[in-house]
Amino acid sequence: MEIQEREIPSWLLKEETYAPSAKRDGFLQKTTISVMSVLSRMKRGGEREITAYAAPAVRTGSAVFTVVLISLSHNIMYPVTVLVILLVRLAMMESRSVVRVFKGSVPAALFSLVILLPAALLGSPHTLTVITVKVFTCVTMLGIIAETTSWNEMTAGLRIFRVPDIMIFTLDTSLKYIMLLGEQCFGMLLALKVRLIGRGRSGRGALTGIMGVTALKSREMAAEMYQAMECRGFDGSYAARKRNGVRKADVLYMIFPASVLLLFIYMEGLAG
Amino acid sequence: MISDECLIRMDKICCAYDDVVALSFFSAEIRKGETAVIMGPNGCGKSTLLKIMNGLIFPEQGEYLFGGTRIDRRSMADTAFARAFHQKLGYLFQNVDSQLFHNNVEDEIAFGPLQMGLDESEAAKRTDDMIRMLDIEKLRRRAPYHLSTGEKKKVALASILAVNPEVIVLDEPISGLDMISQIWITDFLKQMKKAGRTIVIATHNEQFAEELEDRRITMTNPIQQD
Amino acid sequence: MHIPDNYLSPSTCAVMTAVMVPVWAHAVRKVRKEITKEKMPLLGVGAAFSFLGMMFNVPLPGGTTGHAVGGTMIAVLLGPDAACIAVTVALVIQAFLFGDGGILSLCANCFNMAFVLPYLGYGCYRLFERHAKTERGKLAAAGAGAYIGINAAAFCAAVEFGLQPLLFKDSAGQALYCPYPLSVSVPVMAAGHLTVAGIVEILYTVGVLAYVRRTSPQFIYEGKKANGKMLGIFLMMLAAAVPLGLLASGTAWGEWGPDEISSVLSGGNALGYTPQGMADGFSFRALLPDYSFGSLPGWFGYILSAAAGGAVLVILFRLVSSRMKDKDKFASQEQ
Repeated sequence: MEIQEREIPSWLLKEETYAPSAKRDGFLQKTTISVMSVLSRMKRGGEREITAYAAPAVRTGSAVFTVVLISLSHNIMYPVTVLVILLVRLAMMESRSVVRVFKGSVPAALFSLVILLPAALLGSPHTLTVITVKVFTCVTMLGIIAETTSWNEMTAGLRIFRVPDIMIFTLDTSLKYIMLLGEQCFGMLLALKVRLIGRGRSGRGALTGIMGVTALKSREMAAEMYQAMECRGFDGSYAARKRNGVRKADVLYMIFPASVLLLFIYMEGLAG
Repeated sequence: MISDECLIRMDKICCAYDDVVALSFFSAEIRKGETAVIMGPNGCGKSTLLKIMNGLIFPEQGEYLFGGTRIDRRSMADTAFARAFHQKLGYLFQNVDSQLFHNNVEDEIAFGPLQMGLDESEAAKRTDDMIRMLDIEKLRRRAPYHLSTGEKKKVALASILAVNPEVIVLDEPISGLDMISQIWITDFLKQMKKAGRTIVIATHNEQFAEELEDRRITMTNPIQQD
Repeated sequence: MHIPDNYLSPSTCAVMTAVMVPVWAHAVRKVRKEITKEKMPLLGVGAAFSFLGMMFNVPLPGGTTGHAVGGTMIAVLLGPDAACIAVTVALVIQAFLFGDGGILSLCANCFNMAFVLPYLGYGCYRLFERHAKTERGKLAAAGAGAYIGINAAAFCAAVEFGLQPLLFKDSAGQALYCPYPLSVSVPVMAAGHLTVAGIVEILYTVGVLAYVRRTSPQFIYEGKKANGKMLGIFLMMLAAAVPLGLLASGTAWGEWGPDEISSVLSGGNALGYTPQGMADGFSFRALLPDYSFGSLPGWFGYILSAAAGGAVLVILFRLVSSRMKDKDKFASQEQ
């Protein structure tokens, strides 16, 4: 086979002397880190074993119930007590999980603190403390649930809210696609990182370009998925698989929401 | 022509993801102008190694020196240094789709030179030179997204070379290519070799490796032998 | 502009849920009718795409960066009904699986970002697009739609916030939920979204659509004429809310007015909280409603502190020892 000698341009034969500017471009780093943390959280969530104790629906339902009670409470000692219970729970968890839970709740609490500080100075200081404590407690609780539940089971758990099938279908498939598209995105962000060697308006264009490619890829994937489903007899309806009914562990778990409710009634009585 | 100067030195590199050890006390040296081929089975840590080489991830233990300078989190935190470093290494990803995000080939290639602060005419000249060198004139206004794998790899190579890097790092460059494209890439890399580029290639393919290598680095899981 | 939990009262959240249920029902019905089963996976994909998009930190000229929601963009790609479902699912995932909070306020967030933003944004886009002759013009129409959409969504969020101190106060007269009245929440949200957030939304929407139009224009949604009914309903709601807002803001402003403050000064009996305390700086007690500590039995406090202290010690100990363990990971494999 004839192989042609290509002409190599002169600049390619010389060494490049490039002195870049030092001004920062934080957006790529922030985006890359966000996407990366999403991916690793999802991987961890998907790999978690399905535990023997209470069903995720029960645990999620109980968490939502507690959030409602916390939100309704007037007595600040209520979220504080729940928080102490959560701390005890955290002490039983792996330290890496604990760090992750706090990585969610501490910034949320700090954010509240900052946002509400002007209100405190203008005459509503209770609000500052009350909301910050409530936020910290709620996000910590949700973080614990997220760390200790297999995510596939959790989406199954959301069915108790009587959502139409198409929503559940969308929910299930979207988790899978967040992984796939997220990995695609992440690869592109890394590739951009090694090519963003200077400043220029093109940084933003590259970012939206990455999103654009993701959009197109996502349509391809959707088409493929449909074809795969067709091959397995998909006819447009998506029925939820029935869970195996109420188990002993679920009933035992109900102690938690029950006690949280009793505590609420007691404390609201004190405040009232 | 290979100089005596050691350009890339890795000393007892250890790296792990989530408790899975990817690299364990890996050491290697690559001299300027040399073509090094990294071979090993799937999962032996090749991609991790290349990412470390490009300053995208940092090892937990061990040292990586490029041109005598340590490449670690601290040195790469300096924006100017990081940019200069990335200009010196051109990295062709295994999944070539990751690298192409413009809606036409010309802009894709011009991106790098414009980033470097070259003016429009300089950038255009380099773009034209690359298009000519890689023989992709007919793809100039097309969207990279719609090209075949071989064409995408050519566009990606053009974009990488347009900033004139000192080292070209390629992760499985011939995977997914037909015979003609494979021959084309092998021949192209030989030319780059002749022009004095330092080249690092990760591959499975024995024949491809033999045609290009000056030095072979073999990796097994994950303990490395030289 | 994701509203976290505890800033809106549960009753507000209940109201927003009641409002969203028919919206979702409508979107689901439309989607079922229009989308062939072939396109069904697009919803999940749209949700994933919307979710990932919210992670992107978009740089603006001048150095600031911001996050976009992208509701209008998804509406342009998939249609407003599919966009409603996609953004809803993305918000659900953020709230539940990522433990970001905003579970009770989910419906308020959905109202703002999954209803107002895509429908209004898309409606405006179609309105402008009809007059646009060039590619650029069509992109500008999308940008304008996105800008209007996000600002309308921000306005709704501001109203949701601003009504809280008006309606929900504790016995000391302090706000239980968001403490900022309409006179504060509306200008603050408007300032942020008419400027930075609005521009981020425009750049993000236009940037992505420009790529898609150039590369694969057949993927843009070409639905039937935008349903005027939804738009009409929304505008009516907005029209009703505005006088309410003005009324409320007038009253709310009065709350912070001089007479209110002076009455507190003259009354001077608020449970452990004195205006003098505010004048010379904070006393810790001022931050807490008095009845909370005082009324609890002593043993409860002891148990609580013991449990908290013990738990914290265990956690700290674990953290320190796991740090030390990491260093030994490679040692056994040294050759």
